[in-house]
Amino acid sequence: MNINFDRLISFFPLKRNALIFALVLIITIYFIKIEYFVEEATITLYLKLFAWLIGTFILILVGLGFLYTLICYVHFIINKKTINPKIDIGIDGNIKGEAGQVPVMISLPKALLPLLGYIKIKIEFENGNLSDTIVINKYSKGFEKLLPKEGSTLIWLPDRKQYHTKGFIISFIDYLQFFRFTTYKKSPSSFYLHSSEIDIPVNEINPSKTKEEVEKIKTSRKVQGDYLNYKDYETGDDVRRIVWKIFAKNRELVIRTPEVINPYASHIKFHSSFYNLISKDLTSAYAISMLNYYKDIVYNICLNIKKKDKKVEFNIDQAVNEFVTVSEKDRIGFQLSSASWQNNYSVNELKSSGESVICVSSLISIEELTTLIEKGFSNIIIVNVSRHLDNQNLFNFKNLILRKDQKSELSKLGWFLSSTRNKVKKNEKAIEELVSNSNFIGQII
Amino acid sequence: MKHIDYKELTLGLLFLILPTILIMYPLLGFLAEYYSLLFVNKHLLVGVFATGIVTAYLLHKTKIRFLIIFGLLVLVLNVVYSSISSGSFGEFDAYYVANRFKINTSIFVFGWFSGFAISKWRYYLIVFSILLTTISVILISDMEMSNVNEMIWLVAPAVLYLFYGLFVKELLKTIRNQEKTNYLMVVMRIFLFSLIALFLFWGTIQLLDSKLNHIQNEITQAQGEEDEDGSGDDKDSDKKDSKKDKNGSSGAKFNIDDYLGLRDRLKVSDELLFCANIDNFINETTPNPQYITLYHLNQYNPSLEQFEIDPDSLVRDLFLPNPTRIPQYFSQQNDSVLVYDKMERAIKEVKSTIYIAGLNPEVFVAPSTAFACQPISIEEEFKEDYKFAYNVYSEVSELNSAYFVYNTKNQSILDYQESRNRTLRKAKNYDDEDDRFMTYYTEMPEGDLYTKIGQLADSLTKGDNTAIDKILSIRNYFLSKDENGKQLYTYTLTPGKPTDPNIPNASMLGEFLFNTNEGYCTYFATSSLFMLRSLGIPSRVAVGFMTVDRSHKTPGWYWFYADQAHAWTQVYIPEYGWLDFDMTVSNEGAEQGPQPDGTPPTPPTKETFVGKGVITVVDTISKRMEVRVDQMIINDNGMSLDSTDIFNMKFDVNQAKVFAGEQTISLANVQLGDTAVMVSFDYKLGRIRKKSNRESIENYMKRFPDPVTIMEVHVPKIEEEELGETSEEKEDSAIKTITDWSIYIVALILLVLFILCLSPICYYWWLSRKAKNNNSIVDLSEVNYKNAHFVLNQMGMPRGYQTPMVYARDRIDPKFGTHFEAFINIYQKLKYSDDELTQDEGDLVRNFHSDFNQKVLSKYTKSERFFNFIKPNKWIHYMLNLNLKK
Repeated sequence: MNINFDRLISFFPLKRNALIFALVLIITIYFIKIEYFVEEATITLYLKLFAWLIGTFILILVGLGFLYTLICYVHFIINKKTINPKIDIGIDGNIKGEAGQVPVMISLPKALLPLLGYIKIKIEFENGNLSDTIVINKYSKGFEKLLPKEGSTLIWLPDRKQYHTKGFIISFIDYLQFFRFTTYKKSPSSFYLHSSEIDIPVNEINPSKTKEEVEKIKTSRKVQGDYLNYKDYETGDDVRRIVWKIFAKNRELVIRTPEVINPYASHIKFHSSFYNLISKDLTSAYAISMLNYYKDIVYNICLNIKKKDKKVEFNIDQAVNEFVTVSEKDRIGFQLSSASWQNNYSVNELKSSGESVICVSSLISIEELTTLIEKGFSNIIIVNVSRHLDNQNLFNFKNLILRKDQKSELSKLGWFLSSTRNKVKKNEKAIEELVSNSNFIGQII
Repeated sequence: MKHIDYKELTLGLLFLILPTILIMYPLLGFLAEYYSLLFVNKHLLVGVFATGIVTAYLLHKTKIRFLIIFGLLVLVLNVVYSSISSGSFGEFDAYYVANRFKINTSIFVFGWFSGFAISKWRYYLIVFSILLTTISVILISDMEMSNVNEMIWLVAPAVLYLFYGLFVKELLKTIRNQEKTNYLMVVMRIFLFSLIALFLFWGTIQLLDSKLNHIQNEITQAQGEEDEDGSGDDKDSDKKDSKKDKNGSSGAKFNIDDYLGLRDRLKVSDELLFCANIDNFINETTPNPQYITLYHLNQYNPSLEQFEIDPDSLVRDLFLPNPTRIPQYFSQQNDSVLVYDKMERAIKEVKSTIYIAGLNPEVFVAPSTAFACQPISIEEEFKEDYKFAYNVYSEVSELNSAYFVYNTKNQSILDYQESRNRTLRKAKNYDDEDDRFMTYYTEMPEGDLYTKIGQLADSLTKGDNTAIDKILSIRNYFLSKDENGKQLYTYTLTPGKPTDPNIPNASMLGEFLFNTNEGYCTYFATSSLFMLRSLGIPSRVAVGFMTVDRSHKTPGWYWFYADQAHAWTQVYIPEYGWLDFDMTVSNEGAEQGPQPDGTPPTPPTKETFVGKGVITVVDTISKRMEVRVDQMIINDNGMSLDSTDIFNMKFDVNQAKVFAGEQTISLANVQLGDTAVMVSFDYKLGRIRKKSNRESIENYMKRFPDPVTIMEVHVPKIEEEELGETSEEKEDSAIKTITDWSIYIVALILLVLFILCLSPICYYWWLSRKAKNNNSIVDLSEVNYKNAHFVLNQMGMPRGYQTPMVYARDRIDPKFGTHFEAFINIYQKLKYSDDELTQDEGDLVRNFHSDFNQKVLSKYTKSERFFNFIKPNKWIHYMLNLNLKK
């Protein structure tokens, strides 16, 4: 059984502060005792006096914090059913955001805030992971000033994927951060994080097949109202197009708007494959890191295509877990967030239906790629996923003096020594060779 | 580079680093004091620390790694240090500069480390602040101040910082990840926390008040005890040296201030301790001063080279009462000392009056051998200068005198000394003395030094047969001059260390006698003592005050300043007892008083009647008291009454002042059952004399007026326990007032609630009455309108923001089946138009009140109706919306 220690610890009522404080205090007292209490001297009396004073003061101060926090906690427990934490992720609505430092706002109406203390919330995800701590620290305006309303924090969620929250671990903490009373509030919800925009060079991509887009004039309106697909008659319009029926009705000369044929309008069919034969463990830290990078690249390629006013029909090689209706605009990000590495559906099994672009990662096996190229797909984008991991320099003079930016950066040394890197590198080399030796159309990013 | 949040940085600097620097200020002050030899400046140290901590904090808030920078820093500083210490300054300068640099850099590095650790390590601050607090507490404890409260407030910043740091650190940590931070809120929170902590600290002190008082008492006591202990043991020779150097006082083996229980032992004391009138004269006119004895030191500790009080002394001729514990005008007497003092010839009784100024009044000072002490009152005009006074009766040898080494040209004294020597030469030798006595007082420690002293004494007293001749020879030795005509022995307060510093335990005594020949009184007393003892003459060291007759204006009056504290030799002469022989050579400083002697206090008015007994009645209105008198002094004749003779006396205390100890209290504070001393100065009482010795006390007392007019009432000082009780009572009363107040407040709240509950019913009743008695249709409709709204409001159906019409039509009429809509119609018509009402409409208005009420109220049960009516919230709601409804 997998025990989540983080979760367990957050239910322990004493915080590390208290433990360390107590420990240091005990050591100090012990030291003073053996140093000063060996013989009767006046200083002993003074020390006793201060021991009394400071001891009582500590008790009162800590006790006040303890009681206040306990009261807030009990109040929350009693009103647990009526207090519903509300979570806001990102900027647009509740369901999407950019991965990385994600601004999360949680509001907890009607909960009491411990005196100068904190309410800290951790989000528990379905896989048992806990998020960073979110501190409730904002007060609302007006009458209910004493009731904290919300807290907004940047929490570190690096993965471009769908997050399903199980609930919240809500802790009430006193001002000295000695005590923590924790309760769990079930509150399932979901959101997804997509990649952020980055600049990548992408070759011009054209649709592989021209589609005629004909916008035919539909049948005349069926409901009362505006004239759809009609316009007022103007000089120069074809007289034959005048709709006499309407004229007969209300003496207005209108004509049908002409049908439009756009010979260039077309979709770029974009297929991205998450076929991964190199990584043994599809959920290892390196695999996840590479997956994120791959998603970033794919997302941005699509964005680039879209920016050039071309339409993209985006597909991935796996089923999308649709927990929410997503607008067409966010479709790509959402689909990508749903994807993960898979090793049972080869890109070659794709039933060709005029794909313009096929995007594969460098984790694809060389045989697969050979087959793919031989099939003669017009445009294949290969993403070298090891690149971003390699990008961190192992020995950087700067790093001697400066610390790392993010706690989540993977250990460089570990990566350089890992067998995964070896394999991936070898594969990438082979791919490069293959690409230069065959009639490959596309690019390696 | 990571984005640096300047606001957070500023907050950290302002609220975390600045207080840390401030807290370090006093500690660095201590350090600077410790290294004062190196001329280390406190402010400079703080500056250095501040620079270190601020730089480190700023640097490490960026991404800079600690170890390398810190290592570089230490390296550079080390290089600089070594270059300085081997620099081309003078050798001495280099030492100073290098050491100062060392201290400064240590502080800087410490500051640097702290700055880094505070910014990066979450738990460092806990350790740091606890250590800081501990160090402050220990340092402050070490100051051993007598005022506990002051000390507490000295410690307060450190203690408060302990939690302040914790709070601020955590607060700053939590705002780090926040997207938008309300910095004003952060500052507010910090201030609020500081306030709360300060308040709680104050509260703690208040809470522990009694406990603190208790400890304060203990401390005061312990300090007293320690002072007494200090005279007895501890103090090795080094410590002794440093002490007397600081003191400049004349006690080598004892600290004058320790003995006298003065307030501050480091104070250079030239203050007046007491003055005395010693009624001892030669030939009636020439004053013969007597030394004032505090203790006799009989036992010698050779390893510490000091004399000690022997608690199991053979001879107990020291009378040690606590004068403050003796009831005024009554005397405490101990005749056993008179047996021990072994005086048989040439005795006289000397009365001395001691006026205590700077001395602790609990210390009894008197010429030896004192046997009785009687506290007396001080005249009003001298009360500022003197806090206590008592008469002492001593048995004094006629041959005893302060004049021995110090001499005057007064012929009568010279004659007196000559005759005294003559008399003493005729004194018996020690053959008849008790063996134990002789062994005890001629005991010598073994060792080369003491053999050497004995040889010296033998050589000095060759040819002397009597004890007094030997004493004189030794005195002459101390007064003798060397071949250059210089004094052989000189007086100094700083005899200095033994010449060979490599022998830390070299004998101070040996150094004095055989090398330096300079020392202060204890040196002279100790060495002469050993010389005498080696010659078989019983002797001891006495500690007390040297009496100097400086002024001839007031014969018999002597002033004693702190630097007159003294030690000298007492020699036992058979039949004449212990005589003072002070061998110390002239000490100009002590002979000249630090300030001119004052005017002697005039003796107080003669008391004619003093009665002591248990208070039985205190009448504060007519100012009478009744006391069961068991002791009386009438015209200096003390009378103790047997238990059968004890009788009640009535006293008129109209003019009396009531003293509890030294303070004046009001008559109301006198406790029944206490012992009171009633004093009268009424000269008429002095005339009432006993007719004959046989006259019974009862009869004698009958001739006294009833009641006796009393001028002074002395009751016991209010004891500490009683004080404690009173404070408890005060607490009780405080609690009482609090409970009283809370009762008042609760009562007030209840009253308000009651009125609130009752007023709707009254209002309803008032409306009904108005409805019945009103004839005007307009007024009636108004009343009905109000009534309807009121009733509906109370029943939980307020109109809210609906128009009356809608309210009546949609909500009320369907529910209750009333004609409210119709009434509203008529009401509005009456109000806004001039149309006359029809008969039907008039009837409707007239009957509306009872009809409506009955219909509405019948929908509710009785209890519902009642509770709805008295609900204050609805009533308040109605009142608030009264205007709106019109």
